[in-house]
Amino acid sequence: MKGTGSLRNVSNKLIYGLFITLVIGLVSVFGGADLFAAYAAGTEAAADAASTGGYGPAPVTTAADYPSYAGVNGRLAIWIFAQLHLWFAAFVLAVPIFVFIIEVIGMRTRDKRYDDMAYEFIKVSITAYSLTAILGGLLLFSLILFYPDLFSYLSVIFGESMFYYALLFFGESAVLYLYYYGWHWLQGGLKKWIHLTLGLTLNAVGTTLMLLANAWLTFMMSPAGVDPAGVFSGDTWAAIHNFLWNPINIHRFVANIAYGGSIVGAYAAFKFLTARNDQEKAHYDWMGYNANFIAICALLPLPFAGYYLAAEIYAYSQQMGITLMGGIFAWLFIIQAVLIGTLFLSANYYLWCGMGRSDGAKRYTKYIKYIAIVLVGAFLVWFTPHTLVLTNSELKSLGGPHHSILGPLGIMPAKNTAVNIMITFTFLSFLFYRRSNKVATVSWEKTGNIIQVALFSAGIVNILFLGIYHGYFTNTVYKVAASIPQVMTTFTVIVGSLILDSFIYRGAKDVGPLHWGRIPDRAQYALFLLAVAFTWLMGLMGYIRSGIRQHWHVVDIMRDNSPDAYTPTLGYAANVVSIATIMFLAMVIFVFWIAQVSTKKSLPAGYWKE
Amino acid sequence: MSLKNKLISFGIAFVVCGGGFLLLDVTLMNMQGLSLIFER
Amino acid sequence: MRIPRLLQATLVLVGVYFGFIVVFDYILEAVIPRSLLTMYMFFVTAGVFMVFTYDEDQMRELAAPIKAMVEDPSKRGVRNVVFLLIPLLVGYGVYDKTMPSFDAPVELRTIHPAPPSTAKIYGERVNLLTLENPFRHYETEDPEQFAEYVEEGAAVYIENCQYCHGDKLDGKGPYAEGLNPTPLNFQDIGTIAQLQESYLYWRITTGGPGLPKEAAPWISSMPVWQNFLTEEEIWKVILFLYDYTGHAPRSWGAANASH
Repeated sequence: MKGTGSLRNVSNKLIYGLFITLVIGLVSVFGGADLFAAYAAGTEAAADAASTGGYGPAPVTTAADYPSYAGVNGRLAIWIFAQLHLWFAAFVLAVPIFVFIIEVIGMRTRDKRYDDMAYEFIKVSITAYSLTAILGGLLLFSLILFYPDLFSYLSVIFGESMFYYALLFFGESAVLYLYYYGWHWLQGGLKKWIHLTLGLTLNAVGTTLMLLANAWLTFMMSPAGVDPAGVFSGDTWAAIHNFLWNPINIHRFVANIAYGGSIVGAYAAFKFLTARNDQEKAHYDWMGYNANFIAICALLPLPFAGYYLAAEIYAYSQQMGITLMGGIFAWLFIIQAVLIGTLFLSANYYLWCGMGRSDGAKRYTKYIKYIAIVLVGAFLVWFTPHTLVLTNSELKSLGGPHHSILGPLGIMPAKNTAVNIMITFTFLSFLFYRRSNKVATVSWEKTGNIIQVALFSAGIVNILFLGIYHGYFTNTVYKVAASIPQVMTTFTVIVGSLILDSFIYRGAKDVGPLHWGRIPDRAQYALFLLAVAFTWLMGLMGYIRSGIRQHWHVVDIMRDNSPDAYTPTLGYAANVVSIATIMFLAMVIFVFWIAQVSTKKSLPAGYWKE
Repeated sequence: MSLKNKLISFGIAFVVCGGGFLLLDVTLMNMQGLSLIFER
Repeated sequence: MRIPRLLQATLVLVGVYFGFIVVFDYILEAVIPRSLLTMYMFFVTAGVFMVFTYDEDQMRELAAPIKAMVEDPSKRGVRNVVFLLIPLLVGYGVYDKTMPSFDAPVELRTIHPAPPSTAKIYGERVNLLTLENPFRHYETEDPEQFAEYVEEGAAVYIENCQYCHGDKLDGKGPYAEGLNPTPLNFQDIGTIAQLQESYLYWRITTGGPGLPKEAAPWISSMPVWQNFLTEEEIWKVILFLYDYTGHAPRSWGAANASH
């Protein structure tokens, strides 16, 4: 295929792009906070007027207050609707973020293929958008029907924000339709700038919507702005800005990008496998590569965002923290660990398969087995459970449930160390991929490589030192604190070697044109696996996050007295999440298919009169 | 480049990078009000 | 002679499997739980598969013997044997799994159940989220007094606790052998080092009968110590547990981090 050479630059540009997105995202998370604060200052005045009363305590319910309709289990219905709504919402919030970046890249490089790819991405999300709204409606109706007291209590506190949420959703739809249907109309010069501004607005509104919804759910976990009886102080900002709000905001923002990337990656894989000719194959291979790249970039910081969230939950309440990590839900965390490892393995596998696109890859493929050994080794540490499943003879042989070698691998420092190593080596895979088609021309190439090896080795030594020394020979405060330099080490290795690499490969020669489309079908299944593992993971972890409230609607404020106010068995919960995952994926396949149908035309001969 | 030279360059680069990381550790631990080495 | 790739892959897997067993069961003398080994091997297999198949040519080489076995007319004898063996193996696996055994079922007992937010201790409702050790502040303010309290805690421990938890606090007291589950090992980094002092206070005062539903079955033989010891004695024992093992209780701020 001609002109494929410039496509390789996409990775560089996407790195900058994603970095900017992260900055924009974080600014909007915190900048959005200011906006809320300003808005809340207004409501405070109103609250002063109402402070003498008007707000009652949280309702005390009995089993009779939870109506049942047509024999439907309320909890199950809400669980599934909420989960499906969340998956679609995560997808449709994420896609405009990287569509915006790709559009900017297209504008800067004046390479129309970026613009076409961005359009194709947003096209996939447009059907998903209406499904998000429909499922949101179903969730809302079921909340009102099945948990009327909870809903009315929440609407007393968040009534105003719910109203603005609805208005914003309306605005979001308007902007999205303009953005999508106006794509080909708003091209060139000022028109393109207008289109880009629409994209930015779309993202700003979308992120604000997410922040509002996050406030409602984090209020249920870490209520604020209410007294112990649940009487609202009238300060909406306090209720929104509760303890777990920002940790969830950050975690969800980053995770959504990774998730969106993985879903469009699955779309590209679907199109690749059904492609009729080499040109289509090359196009969808390129698209899949970019989508996977987006997913990996967002995946790399994700474990840290998750760790931060878990640490904050622990800090908010030891009870919730232990339920989460040490108690009944710990078993689901093992599944989580396995799925996260699967994500890393399949992302690496995709990169290795992709090296076949270059004729120069042979120089690097000999190192792949060592990367694999480290990755799998770190992965085994990553999912070794703290409490082992032991048969009676094993118990007898060990003299108790404590395992002297595997036990210490079960706690957080070992996990943090393992995940940092996994991230560093995933990045190494990516580095080899980038280099596979290049030949450096600078005179100091060898020295540069030695420095790079030294940077990686020193970084890994430091990660191990922090993990082992601070994790096992100090106290918990040091242990938690040391995870920050650990993360920063990984980050420094990544940024440092990217900078170094850009100098070594300045003015580098290409080995030859990249053969887009020359990739085994197996790699496409790795992309599917990525999307499925992500979906399942979000379902399981979402259940845990919500489940640690146990028998509370609003923790320590409003008790759940419905007949379903118990923690279901792990098997039941896993089944519900798995069925919901299958439902979601079926709908996603429908969305992919419908995107394809819209381009199809049939001309039946003799049907219409001439 | 001979093996000896390679090892020497690696050694220097490793010490420099390692020193940098140690500095990073000390700074980030101090920012959290802790020292790098744990004292009871 | 080059080893065929299919054999290479198989040898790696077999080597890793027996490597785990030899290292853990024989060299380190701490058996690797078979449930964990199964999980390990699953992902080692995935890793081996990834390394052996990322390249199209290598994949073909790997699959060639299997392909030949299925398709090549000259391999009829081998094919018949393999196709007979596979169902037999699967059948044996099913038999082995469904055959009732005399072993007690494996229990997923939660060793560290989440504490309730409040608990009834010494007839009063105590908030476990805010509860602190009343003697802890002496550690920085009056180290001599603190050492005295630790000493008193040690005496209480030797009189009451060491029979099960051991004089080295390693869970290997003289009675430990007779108990299932075995008494907790406080030296282990995964036990008291991960917990706040209020958690220990709750577990000691209310004992096995005070375990929450989550920790079922309630087979802990930990006595309800609030019936036998005073509040002060229990807090002093807690001081001793941390002091002797060299662990520090879980805490949040940097302020009380380095004692």
